[in-house]
Amino acid sequence: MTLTAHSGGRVSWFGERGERLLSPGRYSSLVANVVGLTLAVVGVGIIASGVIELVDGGPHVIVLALAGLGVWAVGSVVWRVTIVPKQIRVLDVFTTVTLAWVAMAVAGAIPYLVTGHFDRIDDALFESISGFTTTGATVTPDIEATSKGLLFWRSTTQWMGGMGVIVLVVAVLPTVGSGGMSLLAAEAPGPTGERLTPRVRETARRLWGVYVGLTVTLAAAYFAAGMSLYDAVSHSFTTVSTGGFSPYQASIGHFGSAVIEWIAIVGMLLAGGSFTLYYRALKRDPQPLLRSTEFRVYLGVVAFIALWAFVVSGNDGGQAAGFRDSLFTAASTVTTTGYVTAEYGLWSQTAQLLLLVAMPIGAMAGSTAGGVKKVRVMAVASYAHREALRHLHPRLVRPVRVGNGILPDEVAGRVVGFMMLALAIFGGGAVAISATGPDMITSFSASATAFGNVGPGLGALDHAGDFLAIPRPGRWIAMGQMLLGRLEIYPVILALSVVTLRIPRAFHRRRSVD
Amino acid sequence: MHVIIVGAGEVGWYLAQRLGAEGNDVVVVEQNESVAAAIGAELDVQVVVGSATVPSTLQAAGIDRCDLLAGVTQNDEVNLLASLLAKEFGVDQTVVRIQTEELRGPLGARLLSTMQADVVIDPDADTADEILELAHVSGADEVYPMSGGELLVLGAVVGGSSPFVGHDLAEIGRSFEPNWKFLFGALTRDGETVIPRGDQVIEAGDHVRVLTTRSARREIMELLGVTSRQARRVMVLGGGSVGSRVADQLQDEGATVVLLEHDAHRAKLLSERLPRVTVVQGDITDTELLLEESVSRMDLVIAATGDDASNVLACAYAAAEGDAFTVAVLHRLALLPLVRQFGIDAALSPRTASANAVLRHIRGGTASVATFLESDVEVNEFEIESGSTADGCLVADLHLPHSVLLGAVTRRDGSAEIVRGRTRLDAGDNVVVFSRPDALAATRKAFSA
Repeated sequence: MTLTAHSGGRVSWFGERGERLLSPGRYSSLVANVVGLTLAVVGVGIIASGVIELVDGGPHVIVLALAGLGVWAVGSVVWRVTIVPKQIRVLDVFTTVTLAWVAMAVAGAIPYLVTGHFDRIDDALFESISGFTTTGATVTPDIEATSKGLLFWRSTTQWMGGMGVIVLVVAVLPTVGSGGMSLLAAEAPGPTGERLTPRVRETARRLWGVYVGLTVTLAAAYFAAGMSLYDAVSHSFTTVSTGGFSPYQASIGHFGSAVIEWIAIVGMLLAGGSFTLYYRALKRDPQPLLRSTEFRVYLGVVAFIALWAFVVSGNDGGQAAGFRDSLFTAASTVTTTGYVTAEYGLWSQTAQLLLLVAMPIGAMAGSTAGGVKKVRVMAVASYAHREALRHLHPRLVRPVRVGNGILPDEVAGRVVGFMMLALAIFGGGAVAISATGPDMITSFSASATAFGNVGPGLGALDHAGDFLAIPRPGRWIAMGQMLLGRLEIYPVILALSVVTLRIPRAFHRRRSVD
Repeated sequence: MHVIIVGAGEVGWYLAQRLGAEGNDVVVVEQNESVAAAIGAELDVQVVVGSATVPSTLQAAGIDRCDLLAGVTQNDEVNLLASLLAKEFGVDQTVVRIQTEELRGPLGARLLSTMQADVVIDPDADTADEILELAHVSGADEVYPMSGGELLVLGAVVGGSSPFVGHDLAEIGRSFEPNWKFLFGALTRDGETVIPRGDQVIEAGDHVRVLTTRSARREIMELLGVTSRQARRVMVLGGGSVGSRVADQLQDEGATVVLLEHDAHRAKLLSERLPRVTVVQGDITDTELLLEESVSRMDLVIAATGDDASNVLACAYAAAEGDAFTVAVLHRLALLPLVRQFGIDAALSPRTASANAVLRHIRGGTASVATFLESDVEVNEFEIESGSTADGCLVADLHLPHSVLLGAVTRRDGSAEIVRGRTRLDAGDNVVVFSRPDALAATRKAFSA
């Protein structure tokens, strides 16, 4: 479909001196190229799950392998017959990112269907989207009854979605010029599109380097703490990506091990920080990380919620929480991971409400966490402060600040706009979900947990994020919210507007030709 | 001494005037012909028209026998280049005016040492420092730190409530025996400035310069009948380099500062650089805006734009609306006598601040120099050299000229005292002297071996 969308320039085959530049038949299309490569990567992931299934002696080896090969083949072919155009337009970037994610979600649903895990397409899609968006909400009735290969696929989708497949694709693509950074910025969580290196491809590689490094370290730590290799890898995948899927119904609580829980706390907190700043810190430049106000606010919020649950909850009409459980739950919620160890549904109303508010906010920009990010909330707070001061000093000149940084007015305006949209999606989503049946607190937390890519919620959702409590129409809404949350609204909306604008125009053109 | 001054701007003009008055050969290099003609007509100096970055121009100005070159144009590059050329020609000392803040800091230190410039001045920084001194000794309209800050020369108008009114200096002196904490160094009445003697009677409305120790400054201000209070709420008008420095510093010291800046772009820049200062954009003579920012409730209003008229108007308005202490920066000294009529408490000029720094250096042995805005009385500081006339001598036996007043002495251990006739001077002491420029040579002779 997209092959012909921008085939305005069929590229020349030969250079000036007659050297062969391209194999025949290559089309210049960013969308097709990126979507193709994305599918190929997804295919490799499915094949890997097939291998796990084979090692485990599960029943789905053949179907998983075939599904993986199929996805890989389709993706590879599309990738091979296209090249990235020299000029990348802004709209193309958003269309590309959104379409790549839709393609990923659809391809990711295939394993669930072919293995017979789900009968219905919408269930499979929900699980797939919840995976890639690192949400961690599930509609699987009995997780432990599922085969290991498929569970590994579940974890893998989160790992892929955490740093972002587009970032990976940019790292792999041989020629991404000026438009590459906008691709990264469109997918990366948070408003920082910062270059680590002059070449965008190197930047993407370094980000993935840090990501892979953290994954390996965590897996080793989990393994050393007593997990099986399979459990260790699965959990490291879903910890660094702040996804929260676990092959066990009881999540991390399944192991009943204090050491493992502490490792998970540290891992989640690390995953909620900026990978860009980590890279710098690893390169012996730790100042930007240590001085980052957002980093401090992020850790401060975790500490506050944990202390509230630990100190106040017991005296406030709720059950007292253990210190480790408090910290674990606070970290899991703020970083939008969604692991569970405690019955936080029994905590005081205030403690639960704090969790609910933390969900759509999320952790730090440049992390793998979901939500609107602390930095945007801080920017809006500074903006509101300025507007309040304007009443005293009508001709006040004052920039919007985030920590020591200054947000140019146009960026601040965009952030405020984004926050309004986010609020609308969060609030509107809650109302819409509630219209499908659930009670108020369940609806609100479903909206928060889906848009914030967290996983578990409150009310009927408080056991490891079981979305079976939400009726099917509500789940469709949640699916939309998960994608909007992960891609931070604009790419999705802009891509939708492209579709709605282009289709009528295409009809119009055809008619005028007639 | 043969002195070449590059640039006949505000600072250059004033320097030429002061140095010429002391009997130096002054040559002014100025590019603008009409400015050159004007300074040649008004001052007794030689003028060379041309650019000081051209060696032949410098030769025409007598660079070969020059002892000191001062590059004081508005342009850092010209000043630096002129200084470098002068060093190549074998000039002993150079003074360079540098306005780029970064060049004056550690990042520019290497460059300046390569340039071998002996003194680096920045009129705006010096003006800001003077304004801050005023803010610290509120009520005074002039403050000059001497002897490294231990002694102060305070300027103030004697208030009607002062116990000094109607008494002569001898009587006042007797009532403060045995140890004087202060000394009247200069007195201005009806535009005439004199170095007062014992028979001088103080009247309300006299403008006096009092030499005192830093610790006694509040007491002195009270004795002069000047109401003083701490500057908690400050309004700075004009966000140029003077205004922004003052605002930044006062905010750091705990005051609440509102900074008005006319230019939108500059205001934005300031709001980013000074996070805790309230930056407001608008014209400083816009009375609505001044009222909006509650000018009537301010303790201190400082007008530091480049426009004298606006500074005076805004300060006059502030003085009329409230009881703030008002400070105006004036670029044209001729306006000064008018200023007090408008209720403006203190006025200062960027040129004198920087000229003081240059004069200080030129005079070699002197540590601090203060020149007053509207008169030719100066305050100088000398070190008494061993073997000089003053070494081991009582002040009464020194027989200094009539237009010279020995004010205070700072001992080698850092203690400072007001000089009496019976005070003994020793080698290594620093003395603070009020004098007219024509008597300076004789004074210096008494202190050098």
